[in-house]
Amino acid sequence: MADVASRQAPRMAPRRRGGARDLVHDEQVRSLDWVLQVAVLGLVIMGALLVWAATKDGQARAGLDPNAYLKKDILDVGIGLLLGAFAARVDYRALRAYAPIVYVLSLVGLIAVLSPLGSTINGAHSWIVLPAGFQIQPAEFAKVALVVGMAMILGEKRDAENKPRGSDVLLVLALAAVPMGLIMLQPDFGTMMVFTFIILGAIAISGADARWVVGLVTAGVLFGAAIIGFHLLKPYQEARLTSFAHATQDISSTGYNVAQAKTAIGNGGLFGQGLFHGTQTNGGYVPEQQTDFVFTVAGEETGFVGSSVILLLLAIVLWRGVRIAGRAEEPFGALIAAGVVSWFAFQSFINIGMTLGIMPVTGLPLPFVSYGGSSMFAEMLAVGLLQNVHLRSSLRS
Amino acid sequence: MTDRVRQRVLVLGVLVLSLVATLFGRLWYVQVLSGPTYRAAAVANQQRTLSTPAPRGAILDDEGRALADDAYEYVVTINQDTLAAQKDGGAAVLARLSPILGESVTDLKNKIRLCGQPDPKTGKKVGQPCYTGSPYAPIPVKDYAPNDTAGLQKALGIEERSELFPGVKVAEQQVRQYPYGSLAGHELGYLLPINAQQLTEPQYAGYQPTDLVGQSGLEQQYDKQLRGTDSVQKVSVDAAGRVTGTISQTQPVPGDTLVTNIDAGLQQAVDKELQNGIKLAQRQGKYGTTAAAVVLDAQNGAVLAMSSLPNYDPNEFTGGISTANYAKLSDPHASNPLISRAFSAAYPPGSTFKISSASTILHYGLATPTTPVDCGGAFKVGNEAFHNFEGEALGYIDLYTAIEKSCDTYFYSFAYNQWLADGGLRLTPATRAKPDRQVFVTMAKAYGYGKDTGLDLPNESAGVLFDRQEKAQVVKAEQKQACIGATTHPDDPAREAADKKMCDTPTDQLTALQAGDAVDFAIGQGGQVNVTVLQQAVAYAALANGGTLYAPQVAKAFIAPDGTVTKVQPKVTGHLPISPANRAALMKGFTEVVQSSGGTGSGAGFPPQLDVAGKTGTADVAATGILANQAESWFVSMQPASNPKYVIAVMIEHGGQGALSAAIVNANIYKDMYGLDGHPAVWPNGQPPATLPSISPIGTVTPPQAGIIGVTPQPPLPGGTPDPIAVENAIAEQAAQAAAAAAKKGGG
Repeated sequence: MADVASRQAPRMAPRRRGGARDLVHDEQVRSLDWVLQVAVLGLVIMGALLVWAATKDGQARAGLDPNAYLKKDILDVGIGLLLGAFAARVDYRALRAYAPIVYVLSLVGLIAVLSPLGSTINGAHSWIVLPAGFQIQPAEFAKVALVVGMAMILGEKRDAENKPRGSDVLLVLALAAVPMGLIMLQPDFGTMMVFTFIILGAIAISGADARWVVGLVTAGVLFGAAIIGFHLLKPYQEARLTSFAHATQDISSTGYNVAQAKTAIGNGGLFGQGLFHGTQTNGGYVPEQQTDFVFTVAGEETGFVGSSVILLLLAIVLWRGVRIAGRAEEPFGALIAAGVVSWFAFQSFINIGMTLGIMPVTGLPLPFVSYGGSSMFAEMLAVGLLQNVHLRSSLRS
Repeated sequence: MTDRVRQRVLVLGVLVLSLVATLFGRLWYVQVLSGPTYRAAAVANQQRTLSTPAPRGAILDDEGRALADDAYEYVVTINQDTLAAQKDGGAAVLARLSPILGESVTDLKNKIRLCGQPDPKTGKKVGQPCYTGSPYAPIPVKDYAPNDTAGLQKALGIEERSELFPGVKVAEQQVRQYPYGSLAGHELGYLLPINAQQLTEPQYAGYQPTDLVGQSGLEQQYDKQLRGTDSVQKVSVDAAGRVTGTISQTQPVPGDTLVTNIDAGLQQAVDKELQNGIKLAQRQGKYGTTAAAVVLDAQNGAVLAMSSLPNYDPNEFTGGISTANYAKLSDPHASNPLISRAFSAAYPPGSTFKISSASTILHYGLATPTTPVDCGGAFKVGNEAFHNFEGEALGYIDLYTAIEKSCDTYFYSFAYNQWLADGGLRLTPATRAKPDRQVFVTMAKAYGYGKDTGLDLPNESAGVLFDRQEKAQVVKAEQKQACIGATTHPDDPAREAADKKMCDTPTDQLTALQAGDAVDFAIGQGGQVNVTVLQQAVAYAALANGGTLYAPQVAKAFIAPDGTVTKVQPKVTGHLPISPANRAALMKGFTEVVQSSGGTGSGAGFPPQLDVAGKTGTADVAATGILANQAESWFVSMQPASNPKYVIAVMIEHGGQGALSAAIVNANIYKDMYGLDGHPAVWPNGQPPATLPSISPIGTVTPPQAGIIGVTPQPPLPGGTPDPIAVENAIAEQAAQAAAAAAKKGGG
């Protein structure tokens, strides 16, 4: 890529307005991080198949269109790709100007969810139901807003300093605290955890003093201990969080989910039962199988081999993200990339870890694979941002 | 970009990599290392087994008459899933169904909701009324008996308009029926659902919790052969328990047809003669409490008829029996009709036991058949006089006459001398180790008393037979109980006093065999020997056939669905140590009982041309008190005496003298068998069929001989007046059991 980029560099000189746009467009397509893009496309294609496999039998049994979820997923992917293309094309420095707006809009969304406009699904007040069967989960978009907002503040051009000031870090924490508080009210513990890791990742990459990172990790651990110790969560949440440690004890509720998820994955063995032939999947044993537990479909029907492909594709996405962060010209770009990588990495780990019984059960989708419009759109936007950072750095260097 | 930032990006990269590696490791563990465990869990999740019983084999009598077979009732079932899939949740279907079945919609709803499932409205688990069966099969809501034609019309009406009744099906369901009612009910037994205890027993391995199994009689004994092989359907189910498909299905293999030695015509005749016998005894002022008779083929142990009154109709058990009805069938006030007095209860044999005592005298050389022995009016043992029957004195007589006239004192002298030789009051003789010790008991054991005959039916009583040592063991155990009872019944001073007295008596004194016990034993009295009617028939058959004890068998042959016949072979269980000469002498005595003008059985009406030999028995149950004149009336016969083909044993509990009731019943059974004295013949030539009934491939049964007597369905037949002491004891025992159960409950 580097040689391509350098070859293109002189022609990028008049990169301002008008004609530059066409040039950028043309070059951008060629200069995209295609490894990243292909991995993402691979994940969404597998995701669509798995969502289809998870839903078609249940839909048919209920006398509904067996392909309804597949169609909607493809539509979500299509819209997501358009949003990603948009995010890749805007001059990301212009994002700085929009960042406050994005931030405020996400807050409005999170407040709206808590208002009577919001709906409760699975115990969390996280959705806004729109006409025509659409639902919006503002917390997903808030992740994008958080990534961009933090990058804006921590990546602010610094003259002599090579690290953000303590006041910047505090400002970031204050700004992040507002959406986190709103999410806490839903309550959506999974998204809270992802937010925490995004903040940690961004602050670490910003070059802030190590004491900030260490201090935040310590605070997070203490906070987590306090939540469990003083029973600050709703009982169902606490049960979900702690059940993974003793999943076999309670076969009737949350532990049941984990047990059935592990049974489905274990049932896949090395090569799987074959796509659409998972008995646990077709029997509807695993709840939320097209969304939070979609990985169990991969586990049962495609086995270790197929599940490994998903892990591998996710690893490629993360590797490319880290690589983009490392090559970013400016702190702003690196911070965006680092934020996105933290988001994807921890959300994937928590999601897959919970289906394998090593992480608590939280309502987090598996990036690119799980069914769900809001998460798909937000993740595609984030990929667009990665591509954007990649393009800027490669084109300029 | 500073180095510091690049460094941190590198750390982020490593961190991300380690997360992915963790997931890989865990994935390998769950899918590959633990795969088999989870696969097994998945299979258990998704498979259910539905078993449908195969047609149960019929039980036929020797002429091919069906004593037990299968009928089909119509069952209206509802498939809950199909119903729930209706737009209105099935409300319209239930509303249409309700007036046809005559059940309210609420009742129908209650019948089809599954026990233990969460209620969709309240979330609470559903309790009674609800359906306890498998949620994977249609739920029965109404059944119509095979002969309910109006019900059948309704059921077929529903089937014809199936478009109006989605999810509603009419299915045939097999039910066991016993076409002749109470006839041979004790031998046939009945079916009931398998119980929890049985499910854990190896002989019931592979049975389903919903299976009906034989819980008595032939149905229990030959359950494996009769039930065949169930049709087993393995279905896959989803998380909600809905059946999603069939994985495998096996075809049922119908059970074998069981042909019995029992002849329904003879059984019907024996039932009738016993009823008459009870009435006869009652006309003589006796209770006639219960009665039993066994007709054996003396040459092979085949049970041609076995009857016990009161009896019951096994059809009462079909479809389950209510607690109230079951209580009625085991009510002591009705002499507990469930118990067969032919093989499940033992009685003092009285003089019919002299077959064993006379054999002892000859075999051990205590006397020859012609040795004259005093038959006095009484035999003195110490201060106690043991009287002859009604104090009759016959002077010096030989063994033939002793049997013919049933002289007790003849036997007393031999028994008393043997008691002295065996050591008298001592448990074992101090000196001498003669092998012919306790010879009266030894011979009794050779006749099969005190142990099961090997009958092919469950719940056989072994009767009672003690030698000195066994009696001592029993008495010691009783004394131990008495010592406990002496201090644990403060509310019953009389009982405590009696128990204390027994407890304080020196054990040697209690365990010693009294001379009186020894002489009583020789004439089948005194509690040291109790026998079943069946044991007595087997013992006489052994003497009759030349010395072979055969296990009495109800089953004659099994005919598999493919026509393969497996005959049940005679089973030898022992041999009598009796020489042909001694046997001939004994047979002569038994012949004179019936055929000599002075014989005790001569007035019973045995047709002379049949050449019957036999023995009366009048077994006193208590010397004094309420049962003083209520002896058990016995008669055991062999026919023809020259080479006996049949042995018939008859006992009427509290029926009085053997000669006056049991002997007459016994004679009448022969008249039925041979069609004499105006009795309609059971068989055309007095013979049971020589061959088996044949069964065509479509199941049509051809009888082996024509001209047999017709058999009609029988209601449950009553006994006579219940034994008041037995009733009292049974009630006390029930109370004790209830108290023990209550104490256990309270304690636990």
